[in-house]
Amino acid sequence: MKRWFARRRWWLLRVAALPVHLAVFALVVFFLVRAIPGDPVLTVTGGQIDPSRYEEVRTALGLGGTIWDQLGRYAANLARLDLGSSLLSGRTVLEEFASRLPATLELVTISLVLTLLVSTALGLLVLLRPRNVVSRVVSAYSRTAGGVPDFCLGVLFIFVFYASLQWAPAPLGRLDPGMTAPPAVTGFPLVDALAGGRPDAFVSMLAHLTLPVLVLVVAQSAIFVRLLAAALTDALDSQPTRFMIASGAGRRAVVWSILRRALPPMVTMAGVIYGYMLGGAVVLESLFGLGGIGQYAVDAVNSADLPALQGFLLVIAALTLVVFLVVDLVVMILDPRRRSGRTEVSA
Amino acid sequence: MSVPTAVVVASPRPRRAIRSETTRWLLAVPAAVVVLVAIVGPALAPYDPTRVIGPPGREPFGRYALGTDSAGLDVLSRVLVATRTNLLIALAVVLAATLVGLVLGAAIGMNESRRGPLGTLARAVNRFVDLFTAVPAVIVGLVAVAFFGGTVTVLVVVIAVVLAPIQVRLVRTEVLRVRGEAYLEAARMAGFSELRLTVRHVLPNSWGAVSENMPVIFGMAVVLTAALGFIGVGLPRPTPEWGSMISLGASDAATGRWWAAAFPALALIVTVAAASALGTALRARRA
Amino acid sequence: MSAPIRVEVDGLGKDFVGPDGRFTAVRDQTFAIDGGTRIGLIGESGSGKSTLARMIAGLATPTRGTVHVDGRDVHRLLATRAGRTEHWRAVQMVAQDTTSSFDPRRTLRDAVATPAVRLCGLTTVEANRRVDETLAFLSLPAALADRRPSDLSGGQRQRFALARALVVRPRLLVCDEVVSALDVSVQGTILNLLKNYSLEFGAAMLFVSHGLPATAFVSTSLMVMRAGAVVESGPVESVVTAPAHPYTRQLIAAYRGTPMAVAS
Repeated sequence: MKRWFARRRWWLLRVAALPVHLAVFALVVFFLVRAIPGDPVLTVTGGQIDPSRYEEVRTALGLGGTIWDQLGRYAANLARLDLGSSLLSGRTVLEEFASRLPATLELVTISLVLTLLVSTALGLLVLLRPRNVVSRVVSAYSRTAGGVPDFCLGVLFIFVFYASLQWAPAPLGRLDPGMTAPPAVTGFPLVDALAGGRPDAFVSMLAHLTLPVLVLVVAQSAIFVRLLAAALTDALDSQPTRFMIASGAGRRAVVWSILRRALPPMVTMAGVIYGYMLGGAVVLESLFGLGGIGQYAVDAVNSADLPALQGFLLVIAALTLVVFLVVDLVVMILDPRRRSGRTEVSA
Repeated sequence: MSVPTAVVVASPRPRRAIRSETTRWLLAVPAAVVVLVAIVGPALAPYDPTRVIGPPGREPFGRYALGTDSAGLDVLSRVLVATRTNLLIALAVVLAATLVGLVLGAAIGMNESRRGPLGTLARAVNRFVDLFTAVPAVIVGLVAVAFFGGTVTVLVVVIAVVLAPIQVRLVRTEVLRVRGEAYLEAARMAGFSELRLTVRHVLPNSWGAVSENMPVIFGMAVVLTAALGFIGVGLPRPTPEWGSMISLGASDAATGRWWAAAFPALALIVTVAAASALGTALRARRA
Repeated sequence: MSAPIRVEVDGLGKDFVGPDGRFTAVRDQTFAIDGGTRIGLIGESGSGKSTLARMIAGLATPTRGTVHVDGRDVHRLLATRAGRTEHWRAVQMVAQDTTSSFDPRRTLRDAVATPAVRLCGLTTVEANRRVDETLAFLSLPAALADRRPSDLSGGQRQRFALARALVVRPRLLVCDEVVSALDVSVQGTILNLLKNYSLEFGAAMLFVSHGLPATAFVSTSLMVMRAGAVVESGPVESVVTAPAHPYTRQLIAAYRGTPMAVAS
């Protein structure tokens, strides 16, 4: 039994760390809200509030009682997954997110998968045919990594593909005007369209998703190709690869071995890019009117919906922590070598 | 060593090493131009950047050099004034983030392998900094600026806090490297306390890598400021700021009037590229 | 010259924790070093001799046991500023030459003068005179002191490292593989300098090395270490001519018939 634990110590610790990390983030958010200068009730309501409603809003913000009472209630609510209620709609924040998160995840996941495919292909091309015209363009572009922000690309694409060429539909939602949305079953718009037997809605959604997905793929693959090129070069420079080449292995075998060797850092990068894309989605959803949690958050800013914003931060933090946990576990499976550092014991 | 040449060339490093002194100086030119615009630009602005000075949506290269936006404000004047605002915010962010990076990075790096409460604290802070970087910067910025209000001070503090972990990690890595150097032990034997040791040997020898990263942080700060302005949590309108200008220009762009968004976007991209070139020049100086 | 030093090592041990559990680098060792004696500590790599030496010098924290210098607990002494000054003035250590033995951003003179100023309370002028004396003792041209560490050869750098330690005139000098990275011709010079310093100033020395001939040449007595424990110790003559422990016999046999065996 002791051995069983000893052998799985790393995994158990890593998984057990997740709730601790979540709690730390929740605590930071708690104090962040309490650090808001002035009276948050007035901030939230823009200074105009019916005195009879004052206490209600104050309670909704979790600001009644001593700081310990507040913290206790906050912890108890979080433990029951109660993130409070939106001041604007009155619905619970969790409900709001549950209905909107799938749309955002759909956008991010499609973009991530395409980015991984496109960048891996381009990265390999640059590695194997560096003098090719495409390779030169790609490596020149990847060197600007992050230099052209996603929202600039978004505006550019709207101008080129919608305003000028009329290839893309208007950036005003997920569906053509006049089309009714298919009933929400899973919450993922594309899946719902298929499940609801609405191929017309499915096609319209795809058309509306094309530009934002394109923006995310173009913006993020610059970063990804660059990171990938570094990982592939490291794999190429590694002793085992040199040994393979020196002992006359075929080109195909060498490329496969490089890819396998570069896989763990690629998984880590995918996790990082996922975070970037989540941030990008927040910016793009408002630009393209896609709904989702990003647009919800931006709308919450404009209506000073404090509970919604607090919930938004918590949900995003939880989401990224889970993604990083999965990334860590996958990397561990792919590359179980552990750093064998000895630490000294001093009295 | 017998790697096929075709693959060797494709390193992510620049193919031609920057050798000549002249090339290095040329890399710094765009940065100088942007800084110059930030200094003298506002004085050259033909109109008040916050007032309606003509009909909306006027084309550029006519009476209004860069046209007017959908509200009838002069795009050129706004871009010129915004350059100073955006640059100053980014500059303050770089300084603040680097200062935090030096203090926190050194504190973590010098203490994390210690036993006892100090070591535990250092490891905990290090872990938190790592986790904090996992949350997308725009999202933390969005919520924090919404909480504390869209003023220059809040923007600087929030963006500095969001970007500081990058410098913290960099400083920590450098500190860990320097900490293993033999001269540190020699300095310890000269009776220096750990704090004096850090100030005298560790930080000066970490500075090179940290300063070379400052242009990178600068570029990120510029993009982040504009991104927050774009989603509407930055400085209140009609304060000239690239992000909010692009956001306002986006609806124009959808109707074919590209200039209100294009010129601030161009200024933004040129600035980021200039910072990146400056970073390359700094790295080339040491290599 | 100041009073001879007395170092008492009592039950000194150190453990490391690695992925495969706890590992004992030094098993609890007890011995003493007296002023004027030069102890050669030999053993194969990984035998724990460096860890032991570093704990005695005060650069590594023991897991168990104590080191007393002139009756005072070293690791308690090092906690205070005054204690640090006192300890490092008495004990200095020189390690194997590495490219990083000097801060690349400072001149060598600065590096050598600093301990003299901080530990002996000398003024800058006095310290510089002390530096020049020390450099002369080590036959190093004073002009080299204004150069950067990267301009020097390994042998020169190692002599500067010695100068940095000797400038405070320590009563115990701990040397950890000081000549191992150097050319044989340079090795001889440095070994002579070390021996001369000990004789001239009556200083004790702990000379850690994996090479028997160099150690035997410098030392008055030998300690043979294996797997974290001293397995044999005694005057150089008796250990070399009549080794008691099988490992020592094996070690000496390895040198038999080589020219260096004759030299020792």
